[in-house]
Amino acid sequence: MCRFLLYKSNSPILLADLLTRPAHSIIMQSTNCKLRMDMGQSNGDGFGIGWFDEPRTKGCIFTSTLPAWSNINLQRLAEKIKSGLVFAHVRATTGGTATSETNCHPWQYGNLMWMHNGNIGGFEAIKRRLQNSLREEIYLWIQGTTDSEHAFALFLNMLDDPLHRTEFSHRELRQAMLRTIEQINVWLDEAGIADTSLMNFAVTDGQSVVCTRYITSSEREGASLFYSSGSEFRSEEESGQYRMVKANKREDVVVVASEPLTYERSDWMVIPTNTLLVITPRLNVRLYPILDQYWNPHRGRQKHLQACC
Amino acid sequence: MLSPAPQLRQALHQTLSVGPDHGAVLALAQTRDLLIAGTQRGDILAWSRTTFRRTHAALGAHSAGCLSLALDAERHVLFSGGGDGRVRAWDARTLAPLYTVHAGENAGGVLALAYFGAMDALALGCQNASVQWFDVGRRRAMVGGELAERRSRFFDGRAADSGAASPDPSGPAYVVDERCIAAYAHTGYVYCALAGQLADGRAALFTAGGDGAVRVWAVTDDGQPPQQLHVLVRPAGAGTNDADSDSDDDDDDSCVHALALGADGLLFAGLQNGAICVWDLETMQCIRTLAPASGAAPSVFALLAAGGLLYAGGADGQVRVWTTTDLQPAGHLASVDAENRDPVLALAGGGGSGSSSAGDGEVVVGGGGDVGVWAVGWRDSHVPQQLDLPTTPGQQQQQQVDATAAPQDMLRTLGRWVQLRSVAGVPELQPECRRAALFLRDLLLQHGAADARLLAGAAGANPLVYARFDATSGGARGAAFAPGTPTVLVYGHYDVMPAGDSALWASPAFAMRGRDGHVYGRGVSDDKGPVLAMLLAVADLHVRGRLALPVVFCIEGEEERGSLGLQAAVETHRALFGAPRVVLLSSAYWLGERTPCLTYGMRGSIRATVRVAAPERSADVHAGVWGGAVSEPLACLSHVLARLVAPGGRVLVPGFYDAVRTVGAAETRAMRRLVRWITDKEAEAPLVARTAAASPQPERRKATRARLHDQLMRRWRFPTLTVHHVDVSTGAAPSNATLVPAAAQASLSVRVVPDQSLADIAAGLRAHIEHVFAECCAGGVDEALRLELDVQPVAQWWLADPAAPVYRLAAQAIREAWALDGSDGNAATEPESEDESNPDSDDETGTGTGTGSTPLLIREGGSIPAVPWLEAFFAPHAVAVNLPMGQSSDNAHLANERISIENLIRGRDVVYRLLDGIADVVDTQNP
Repeated sequence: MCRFLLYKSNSPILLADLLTRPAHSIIMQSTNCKLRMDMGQSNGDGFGIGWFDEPRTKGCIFTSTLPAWSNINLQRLAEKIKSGLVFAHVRATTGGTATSETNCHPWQYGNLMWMHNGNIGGFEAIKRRLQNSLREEIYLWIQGTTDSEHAFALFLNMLDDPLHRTEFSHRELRQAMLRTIEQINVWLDEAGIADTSLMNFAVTDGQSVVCTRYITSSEREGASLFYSSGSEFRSEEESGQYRMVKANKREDVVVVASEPLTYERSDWMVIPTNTLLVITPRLNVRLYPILDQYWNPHRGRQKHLQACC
Repeated sequence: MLSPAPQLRQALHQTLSVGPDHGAVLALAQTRDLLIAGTQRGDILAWSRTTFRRTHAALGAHSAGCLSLALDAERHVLFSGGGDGRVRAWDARTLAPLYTVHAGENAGGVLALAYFGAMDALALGCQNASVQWFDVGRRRAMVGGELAERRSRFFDGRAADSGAASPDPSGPAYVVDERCIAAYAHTGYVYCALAGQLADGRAALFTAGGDGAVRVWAVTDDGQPPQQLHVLVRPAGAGTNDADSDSDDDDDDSCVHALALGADGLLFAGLQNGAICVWDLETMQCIRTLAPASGAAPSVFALLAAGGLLYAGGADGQVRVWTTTDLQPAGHLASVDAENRDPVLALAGGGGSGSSSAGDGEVVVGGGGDVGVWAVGWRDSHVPQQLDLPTTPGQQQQQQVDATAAPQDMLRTLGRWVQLRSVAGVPELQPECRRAALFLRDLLLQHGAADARLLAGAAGANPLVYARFDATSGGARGAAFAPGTPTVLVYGHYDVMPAGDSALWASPAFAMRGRDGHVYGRGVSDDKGPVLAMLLAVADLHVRGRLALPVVFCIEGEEERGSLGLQAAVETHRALFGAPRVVLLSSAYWLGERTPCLTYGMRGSIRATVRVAAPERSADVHAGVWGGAVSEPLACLSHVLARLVAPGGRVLVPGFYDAVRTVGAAETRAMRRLVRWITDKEAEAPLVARTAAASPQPERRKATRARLHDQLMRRWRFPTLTVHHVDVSTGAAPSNATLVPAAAQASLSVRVVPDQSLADIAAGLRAHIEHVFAECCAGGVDEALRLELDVQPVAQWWLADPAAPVYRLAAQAIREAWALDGSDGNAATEPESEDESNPDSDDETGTGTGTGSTPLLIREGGSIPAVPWLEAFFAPHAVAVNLPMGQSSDNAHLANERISIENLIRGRDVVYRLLDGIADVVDTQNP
């Protein structure tokens, strides 16, 4: 169970404004997260940040097995690096995988970058099958042992020539994402796995972002995921509190995070469970329900159903 | 023959300050009376559509941005949608909060609202891609706990929630029923929701948003949520600039930020990529894509279709305009401030008639900075344009004379008049002065004057404008007055002060601009605005057949230069004026900002120049060579000047104060009441604020009052002498401090008060200066000095009796026009307060000044030569009444001269009411 954060904007942001400074920054979430389903509070098994500087060029990734809160290099880099597209991840290992740099999110392949919050229940039962399905170059690329990296490999396998292409339409990424989830579900079913899987995936080609909040259950809520959009994410001069400024109708900034970065309630919206969120190159936010066997619009709590009309 | 394309006529009518505390304006709405804005910080601001003043303090409506507004015009309900996921309902007249509606869970912001009057229902466009339907008419109280279930583990689990959740507004709360939510109605934020109808007349909801799709929904009044009918499809690549644009609609990446519905079944969608798609709702087909002719197209954030025009507000701060009939570009609203590139985020208004000819509409533009109110319409370019004149008499007939009448016509006319730079005494501006006179003459004729013409002034000076409105109910009519025919004379002036330092003006002095309920420009307050208001009041009475006496106008063009030629012209044309019973003018200011005043006295003035010259040498000489051997003109002049006024301000001319009327006890009491009123009720007025700040003990109101009392007495009640400037004849540079000048001169003025005689004071001044000069010369060096003294009486003091019937009528007119509650303005009937234990009788001396009641009776320290002269010339019946229209902060004669629109409207109403009742207070019989 991990926490992740992604940011896309027309204007680069200093990483510190996302990672270290806000009241509930990803660093805070690494030591004191609030919404983990297992009620754990620390995500100290390494971290990773990935960022892009120019469109159509590869991003850069910095990972470490140290806890994010104790890595002084992260603090230093965050005060200097600016980017308009950032992935950040703090890890709590699952499934007994090693705490190693190869197992730290995010991963990248060509221009594509990927991270995952959650776990694929009973992944060992389908791991061999998944690997067998991969094209050779993708299979050989895998370095770590996690379900997350394997899910990325499966996603890459859904795309034509993912290594050499610099851009993908967001529709293509969205469809590959849906097919990845669909394929994992098929194998899990075939393997008779009853464990619940949490598949909060995020992928980007440096321009579009596709992410999911997904659970293989039609009753339970998925691992938490929030989003916020507006014209600028910055701290207010008087209070120092970070706010999503909404100065016009256009969305110039979109942030997606496992937990809100601030305590400004109206700045953060829940991504409904089993929903796919797209941030288009022009920063339009799209929300698509994932209409499979686990889709349930009335998921969650008992509703009042008195007549309204 | 092709008729030329119609031209858009547009003018920025008024700029309204929003202020940095509120952030950008995200939504706009108009009721009949109010202009309402929703802001980034979640506030609702409201202005009067008539006076453009803020009518309410900012309402904190939402905790995270007021994103949308909708109006139920019939039931007078205003709905606001917020970033906090709430809709709040307000009384659209009083802005009192009514109730709150919570959108469905996790809706995010309510980005769009559409109200359906027939169903009394509200459609919400939400950030989570849902469209929600709230049946206003059948709303039911919220079940307890409905919102409690929405507790967030993250936000509400926190022990010390730092107030991130906005406090629940008071009043009933409702929640959108879950079955009335179309989740994923779009796949993007639902930025637009529009209530309209289909070609067959069925009511329909149009929504659009971040997914670029436009959806059409059937709405019914059976309480059911809308049902989707159509998805409007854009042709492949419509209006996209991307070469690589994918034709799959699902992959389109150009969101729709705005929708508008034309009167003729056309739906317009403004796109992120700057294009505007046009659908025919009959065929549901996209028939056109409008795009700017050239250049990169800025995103379209706001659309408004009204009066045959489509307005598109863009990210670049421009509002582009198309015709909705033939979809042709019709220009854009010219941004006054070229540097203002805040995006246009909201448009409202329209109004105007549907016809494309004379339809005058109002378009309100909001965005990052101020709110602009534009007057728009068509100009038929093939109609010859002579003097672009205001309303015709025919139109005038339809106007209602009440304070709420739209002021646009008056302001538009004033704006044109202000453009004419009628500064008297500047040779190159003489033609403009003449044009300003002709403009006024034509205006008078258009408003029903039986006669209007220019009267020659002094040689080389500007003409006077004369006009006559015949009586319509009893008084004399016709081209010539029998001697002694009772009339009303309206006096004013069309000349203005020079603009002065243009750097001090926030906007060009001779281009009238409106801001926050005022219009700014040279002459708006002194005296073109008040003259126009008087003219329109007379015209209204004339059209309604309510003029009991003929009204003659005498509007001169040399007032700021001492009314050069006025007397001769009036004397020459005496027969044109009849026998005025009242000389009406509006050339004075309120004492403060809020309390209407009535001016009944002014000081007189005398101008003098004193020149001391050494006649035996025509040039300056070197002080080192000649100093001590020549007489010193400047030193002599300084001696003379030093003997005019003592350091404390007391005038040293013998006998100067002898004739000054004694200040009576009643007058002092009345003055105290006036001072008390003004310090209590007008603390922010410049006069009071300055006095209070200068007071040694600013916390003590009593000290402020004492100072103010003293100031006003000195300004109104006592004479004074001022040395304006001192000059030397030296031809050398001012920095040459080695010369003895050959001559020196000073200009002075004296302000005189009742009962000083102008002639006596002038003679006394002359004698005193000659005496002092002689003293200085006695025992001087050989070379004689010569004194050249010019003393000119300019204006007699003027004092009316505020207890006279016409003043009582004027006070009544002011109270009615300003809706003041009211006891009589006369001092005697005002109840005594506090320490005034001794109520005084009528102030028989006529010097009793203001009262504690309204309007305040005030005097002015300045002089208007024409007033006492006209009164005297048309004696014995004529009484002058000076009705101040402007506020004390109007900056007459200074940079940024302005007048409040409300003051103009009500000022016009005061004149209307005064003249409407004039027959009751003056002798209308020809003696």
